[in-house]
Amino acid sequence: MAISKETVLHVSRLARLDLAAGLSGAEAEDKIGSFAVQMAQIVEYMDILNQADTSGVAPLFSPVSLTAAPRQDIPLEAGFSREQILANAPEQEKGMFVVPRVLHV
Amino acid sequence: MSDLCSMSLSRALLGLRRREYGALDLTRSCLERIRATEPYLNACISVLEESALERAAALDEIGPREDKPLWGVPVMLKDIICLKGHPCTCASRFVENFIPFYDAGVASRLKEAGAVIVAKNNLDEFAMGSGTENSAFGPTRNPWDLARVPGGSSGGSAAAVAAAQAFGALGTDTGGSIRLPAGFCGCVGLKPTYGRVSRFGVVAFGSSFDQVGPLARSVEDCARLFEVIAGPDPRDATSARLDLHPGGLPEQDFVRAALEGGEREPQDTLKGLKIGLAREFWDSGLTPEVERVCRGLLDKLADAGAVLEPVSLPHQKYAVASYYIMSSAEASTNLARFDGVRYGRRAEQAGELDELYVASRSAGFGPEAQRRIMLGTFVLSSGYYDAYYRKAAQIRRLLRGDFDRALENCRLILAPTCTRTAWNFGFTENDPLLAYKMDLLTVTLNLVGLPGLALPAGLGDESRLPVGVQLMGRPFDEAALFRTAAAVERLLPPLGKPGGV
Repeated sequence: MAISKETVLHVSRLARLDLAAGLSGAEAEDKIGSFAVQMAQIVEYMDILNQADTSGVAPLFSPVSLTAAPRQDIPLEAGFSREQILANAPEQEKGMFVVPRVLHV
Repeated sequence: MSDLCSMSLSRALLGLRRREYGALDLTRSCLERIRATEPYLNACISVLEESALERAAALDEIGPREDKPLWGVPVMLKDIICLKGHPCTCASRFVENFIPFYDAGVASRLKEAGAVIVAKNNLDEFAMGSGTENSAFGPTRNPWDLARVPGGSSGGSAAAVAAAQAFGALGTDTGGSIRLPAGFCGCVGLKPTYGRVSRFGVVAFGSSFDQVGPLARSVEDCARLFEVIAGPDPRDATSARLDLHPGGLPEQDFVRAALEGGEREPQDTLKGLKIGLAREFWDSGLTPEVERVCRGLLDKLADAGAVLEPVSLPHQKYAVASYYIMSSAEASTNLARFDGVRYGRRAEQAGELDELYVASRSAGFGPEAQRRIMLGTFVLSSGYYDAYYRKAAQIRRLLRGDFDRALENCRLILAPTCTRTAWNFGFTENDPLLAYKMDLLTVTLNLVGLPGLALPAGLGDESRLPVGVQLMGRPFDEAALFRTAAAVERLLPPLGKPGGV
């Protein structure tokens, strides 16, 4: 299956990636083009799955066969503080994570 | 003192208990070895010299404790496993400054057992790779030949253990990331049954595949580490409740199993043992030297009385494709949490929130992580979900059926860990599909969730590099793997010390 540059750009937008970030126009073209070629090769290889007859087979999403046992619905001790959680934040203020403005009024 | 680090973990434990040396002596010996070899190997992202020396001194103060199975033993952690107060970089620029405020389940267990954690090991960024070439901190080199990869993604851990920087290490295995580097560096490594070891505090890549496991220089050493980390953890929802296991509580005494296999004559363990050989693994394009080493082992097993049975895994040919579809899909969702808001590097000059996500992720993730996110997003996107993701999940069930049938008649299945020995740096550059195909013999076990133990079978007669084999077992039957592997270890001459360092 061929994968177009448009598909690559569409998927990158869904994934919140900018493949052209920090690159010149020509470099970005190259990078997107090589992603398209590599993805096409990989997806073409994956098309081998079409040879398998899977009619009536239930998908297996996880190999765990034992069901997780429920526990009592009692809040657990957190064991750590708000300060500890915020310590890794790139930007924080008044005990909260800071992000650029989202609402425009 | 400098040779202390070259002992086996089991011998080191004995000496510690007899007070031939203390935890500090062993720790200093490892740190010295690290200083001497790191300029060549680059197996560690951070060396925890200060905290390790402090910890060792504190242990020596108290003295050896019988109830602490790893008392005073220096070990390492792959740098995707959280250790409180020390950076957990995942070999990514994105989170190189992330300092966890809690210990992973396996890190607490190591500490509780008395181990000294001396370093965090290099890896492929977010564990995505088979050669430890995709690290933001530079590649790790193979101690057997510095021009070659150590395997990946737990390549730092395998190289460090092979070079005697520590007595053992913990890695993670999502598609072969413990077994492949163990094979390339001549170590023993275990990928446990999915659910056997806690994943709490381990940065997720493919959540239905990831397992933490040990790497060591002998089967017994590997069992000693595994016995400490195995077991349920209420903080991991996928942690297996073995009391609910349909076949009754599986054998848990892994050290005893390894000792039994190692102390008896190999024939006593192997006679009549049914070992399955799948054509799909053996006729997979093995290089001639890998084929010769592995066939040599089969002859020895047959001489010792093992019964080698052909088994069939008809869906193995779909394993690599199914694995890369499902693991990339899981990676794309797991890595969605890295957005430059709560942790990690935030891109400057982002006007809007969405721009901040895009700019931070594009600058933060390396090329292979971006490729996996793209692939995963593609196979999950509308119009492709059924053809790829769902189809792969159906194959996954068929593969599990193949294994269940094959393991009904055999106690375990034996296969090489890779079709070849360690490759030169750059071999898979610009050809990601070639890199993915290197995982041909390892990904299947992760799809089906079963345990696999890799151990060296000898040196290739052309490359003079280690060739690994893996024993694959029934669910939660790691004890049988240790028992058999210890017998196999006795059948084979020791590999010797890696020549590159």
